[in-house]
Amino acid sequence: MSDLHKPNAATGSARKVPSFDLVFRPSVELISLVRRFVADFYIEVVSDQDTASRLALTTHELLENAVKYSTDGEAFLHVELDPHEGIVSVRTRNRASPSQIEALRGNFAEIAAAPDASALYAQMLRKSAVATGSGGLGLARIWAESEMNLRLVVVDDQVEIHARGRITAPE
Amino acid sequence: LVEKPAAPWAIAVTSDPSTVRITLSGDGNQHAVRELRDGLASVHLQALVDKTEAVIVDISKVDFLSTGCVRELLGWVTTVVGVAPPARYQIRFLYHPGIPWQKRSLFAFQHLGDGLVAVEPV
Repeated sequence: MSDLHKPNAATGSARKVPSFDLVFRPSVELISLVRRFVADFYIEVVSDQDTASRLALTTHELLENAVKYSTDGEAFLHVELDPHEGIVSVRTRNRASPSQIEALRGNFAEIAAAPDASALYAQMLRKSAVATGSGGLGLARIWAESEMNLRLVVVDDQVEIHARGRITAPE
Repeated sequence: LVEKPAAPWAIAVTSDPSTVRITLSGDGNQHAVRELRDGLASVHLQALVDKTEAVIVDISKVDFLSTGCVRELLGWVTTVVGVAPPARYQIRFLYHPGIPWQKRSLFAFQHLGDGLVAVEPV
């Protein structure tokens, strides 16, 4: 059974929660625009600048990842906030080639094997310092700095990355 | 989506006899990476020629720093760590105390800088 997100279907709860779906062909400018929109959207729902910046970082890095790995240039974004449960989640989806999917699986294997987010991020930074283009730094940064847990779902050539975290100051 | 004007990415460099100050501002997205790389390389070479004691990088006016930009800063720190004393200079990163992500993003550099890097509020 597919675990991919269905557009316009709220996840995690039968209760209606603030959310939106976006399908677009990301460019650098559009990613920045969407990042600012997501931060503003979050602040409208829960007035918390710090969590908004964590969400913005996650959205930006996941969309850059989608651009990097997309085979057709298109990316899907889902953002969902549940102030009552204190949960925020971001999903991106794109089509990817088998080699790109393998690279992502490798990144997520490193995440799964890491003792904690800070250790992985420090390890990735050290690796990036000596090897240009080493992958996974953005994902490690999301985990460490945004404090959001990451999950990879692959169905055929579709890659979906789920980021889920706690809202710092639930209303 | 309602377009809000993005703060343009900018790098300003000032110096005195012992210190160079790099002030970064705006949106540090992927378009900023090349300019940041070139700017840091230029400052590094000048700092070696001038026997600069410290380079200050002020990110307090940065709206966002992509991982690409973080990687460039990391590469520069690594380069400076590799310079043999006494040519090696200190690095001080300044962040806005009211913007928590800035401190979080810089914190990792302290552990990679071999005691060379300080992270302080502006």
